[in-house]
Amino acid sequence: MSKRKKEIQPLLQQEFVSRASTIWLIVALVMVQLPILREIPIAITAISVLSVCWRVMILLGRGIWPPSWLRSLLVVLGLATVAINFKPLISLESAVSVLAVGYSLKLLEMRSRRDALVVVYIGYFLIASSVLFSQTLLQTLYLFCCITVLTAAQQGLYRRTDSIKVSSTIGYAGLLALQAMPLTILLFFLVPRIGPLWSVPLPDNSARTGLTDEMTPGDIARLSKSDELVFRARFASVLPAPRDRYWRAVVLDRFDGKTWRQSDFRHSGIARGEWQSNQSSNQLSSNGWWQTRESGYNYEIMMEPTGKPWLYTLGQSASVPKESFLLRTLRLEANTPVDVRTIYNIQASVPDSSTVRPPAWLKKINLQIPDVSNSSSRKLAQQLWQQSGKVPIKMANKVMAMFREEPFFYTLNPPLLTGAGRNSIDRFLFDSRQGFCSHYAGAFVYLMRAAGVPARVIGGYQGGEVKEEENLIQVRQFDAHAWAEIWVEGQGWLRFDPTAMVSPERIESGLEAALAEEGSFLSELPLSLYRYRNSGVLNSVRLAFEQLEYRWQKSVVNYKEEQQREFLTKLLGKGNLLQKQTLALVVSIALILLVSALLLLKKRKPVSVEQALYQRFSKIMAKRGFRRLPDETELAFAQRVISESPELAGLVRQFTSGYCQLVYGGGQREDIGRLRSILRRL
Amino acid sequence: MSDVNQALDALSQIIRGKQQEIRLAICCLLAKGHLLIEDLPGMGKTTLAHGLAQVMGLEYQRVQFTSDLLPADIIGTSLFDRNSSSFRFQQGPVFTQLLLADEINRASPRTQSALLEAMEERQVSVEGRALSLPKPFFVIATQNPASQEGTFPLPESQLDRFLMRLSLGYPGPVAEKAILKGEAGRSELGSLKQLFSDQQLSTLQQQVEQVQARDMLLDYVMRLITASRESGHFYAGLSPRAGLALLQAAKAWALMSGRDYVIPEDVQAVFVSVADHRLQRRELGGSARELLAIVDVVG
Repeated sequence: MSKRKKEIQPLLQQEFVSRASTIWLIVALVMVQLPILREIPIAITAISVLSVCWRVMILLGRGIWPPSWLRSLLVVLGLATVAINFKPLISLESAVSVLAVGYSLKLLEMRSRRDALVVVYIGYFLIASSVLFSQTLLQTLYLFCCITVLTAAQQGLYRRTDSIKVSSTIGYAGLLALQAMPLTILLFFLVPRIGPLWSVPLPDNSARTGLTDEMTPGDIARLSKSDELVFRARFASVLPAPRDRYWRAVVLDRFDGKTWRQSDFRHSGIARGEWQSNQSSNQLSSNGWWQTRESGYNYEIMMEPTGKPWLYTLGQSASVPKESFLLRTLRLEANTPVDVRTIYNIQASVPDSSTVRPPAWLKKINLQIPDVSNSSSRKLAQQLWQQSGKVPIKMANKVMAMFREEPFFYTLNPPLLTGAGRNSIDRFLFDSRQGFCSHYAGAFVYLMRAAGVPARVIGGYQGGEVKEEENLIQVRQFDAHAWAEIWVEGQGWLRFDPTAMVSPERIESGLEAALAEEGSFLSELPLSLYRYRNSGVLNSVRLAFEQLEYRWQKSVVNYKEEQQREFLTKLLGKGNLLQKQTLALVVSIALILLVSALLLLKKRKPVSVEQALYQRFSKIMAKRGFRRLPDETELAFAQRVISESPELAGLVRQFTSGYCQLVYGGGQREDIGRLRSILRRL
Repeated sequence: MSDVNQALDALSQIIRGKQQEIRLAICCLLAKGHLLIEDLPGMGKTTLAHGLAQVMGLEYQRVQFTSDLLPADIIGTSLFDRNSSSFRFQQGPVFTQLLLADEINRASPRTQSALLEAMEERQVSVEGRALSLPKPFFVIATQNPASQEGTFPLPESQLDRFLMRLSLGYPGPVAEKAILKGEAGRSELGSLKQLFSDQQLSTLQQQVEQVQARDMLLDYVMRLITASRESGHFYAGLSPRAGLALLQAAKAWALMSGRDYVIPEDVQAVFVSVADHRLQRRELGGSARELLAIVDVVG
């Protein structure tokens, strides 16, 4: 009995997960779960933290392994949490949450190497799934670190020693990961992009910050607290002047006294052809609504996902990119909500202003104001309308002048107008007189409409950060802005920005300058790199990083089916691309294998003439089916060969004794030739 | 070399079926190393030592080590001579050519180290005078496996002084029967003749020094040593001294095989005896024999 025990013991010992690899596994687990922390419910995170702490206690010798009923209970709890938190149940986040629960709980029963391997593999899977949520450069680098640590953990499972040599283990694992790089890059370029066979609902974007199709004064002030990137625009030639950097996104033309909204034409009963351009492609011809002419800028926009369908354009544009359409309100909309980072091109084409004539239904929308309330404002509008001789432009200039000359103030923290109910315009114009762009734009449009001039609020962004060397403008959430457009017969939709009257700095130099006195710019983001752009080093680091990130997004993350086809056609020529692609894949994998084989062979130390001689002898013998065991000496090997195939006796004996004489005894160089001739005869 | 083979044959008559061990013992003597024989009582350790001394024609002393043996009992004491009215040094048993230290691990560490110093320095210090020991000086120590009670196991540093450690093991059935019949064993010691003179032995020992070991062989020895250090099976690998010892023993073995150069077979033949007692294995670690099996001879 005791003897049997002895035999089993060493096996168990080998299979046991050592302290060192347990520590590696715990570190890897924590690292892998960090990027998906935002996506999974807090209760799941709590279970993870619990199991990690428990495992650490066991490691420190202060805890016991949890009994199986407790483990089962935790599993049930975890699954129940997932079931409660996710509706619909089948989604990417719920799947990742289940993985995360399993990953953490497996720690609590990880005793053998087999269990540990399961943990490692789930870890790799989680790393892959966190790419579905974010693909930034930083994230990618971080995931590379995760892979290294996880590989170190996996490799530690097969190490005998107990010591945790961090540098050597990490170094080795990193080397492994790096060695996988060439193949990864190759597969990235060459493997055909095949559409998904099935799909899960993509991550929910509802919680994102960004423009919405509603504007209540104060909304944009909320956006101005975020330094998140909205889009980048790369211009073909010159950049527009700062005063022209108005990026249109939404057209807010419905007002209920409190909130400005975008019209929902789809459900309005207006014929589709009336409000949606039937142009499917990127043609610049007239579409019947108006004539177009070439003017403006050629540029390419790379926009971050918004979860909303609208696209950004610089000013009014009649150019329609692929998979999108133009609305009568001169706004671009994509066919589907923008859930992934998207790149589109806008060409220099604007509607000829003299031909823009809103149809009756649109005019009606653009004149609509609530019938009651804001009586002082209506009175003011009528007054101004009379004074300006019923000329819309004069009227608009009068309103602008009012904002400029009377004491209106530009501030991020205006007094709340919620108490005013539907009289918010009155309250703002005659009472508080402090506001943000949305207040001014809203009040301006209200006055114009009250006077009978078709007008609307435009939501979007104004300004942006210029990167001269790349001909690029970067727009962030805090560039969000609202302005107004009025329609004038023969001149089309004219832009008026009342904010420019109150705070010219906002338009010329951006939000930061406008808020210089108030000091409220990004005041809630003390760590935002953007705040520190006046410090030289930090700013250059930020700029360099943003440039890198842009390149990464543009050329790596954006490398999709189309880009691949373009790139490979350029590389491999036209013709059956799939066939060529496959061939190229196979050939380059073979090449990589060849190169690595050569490198491995080259690493071996150089052999002397004598050693080469014996290597040749070994090869000849191997062909005849004889392989020398490592501890078999030359003579013992020869003996074995002779005993098994006596016909070789003479030559093998001659060679072996000659060889031993040569390398161990005082043999002469001349003997080498003799030995070679024996080898030839063999 | 015929003398060596004769000696081998003669000893094989007394200790039957242990040719390899006897060869190693002679090899150890030729390499000027001391020999440790480790085995259970009654396995023929003392007989081997006796026989070796007789065949080699060496002057021979035997000390039975006990726990109350003192260093003076081995080295000698100064006695008062009444005739000359002075102290006279009475040489102890260590002043001989072949010393058989029986059951060395029964003696206290103090006594052990006195002997071990003599082994290393080949001289003893008495009252400030260094007295050199006869030449050749050769110690064969025997010990019971250390697990037995009332013993002081030799520490590694002292084990290192022995060139080889042998273990005889039970005899085979034929040999066993011969012993029972009284045809072999200690009773036959008297029939052994002296086959060597002092001169012959020292000539042979000098010839060992001249045996060649070329680069390819040294590479093999180095691979063995490196493997012992890097395998992870042992607390410490072989020391450079152990490497020298291994080479010396291999040379002696090559000489006994009638060659003036060493080949890997020689190294393999002596490796376990030379290396095993110098390696402290970890739990679950391998042995010197396993080490030999994994190291490539050709490289």
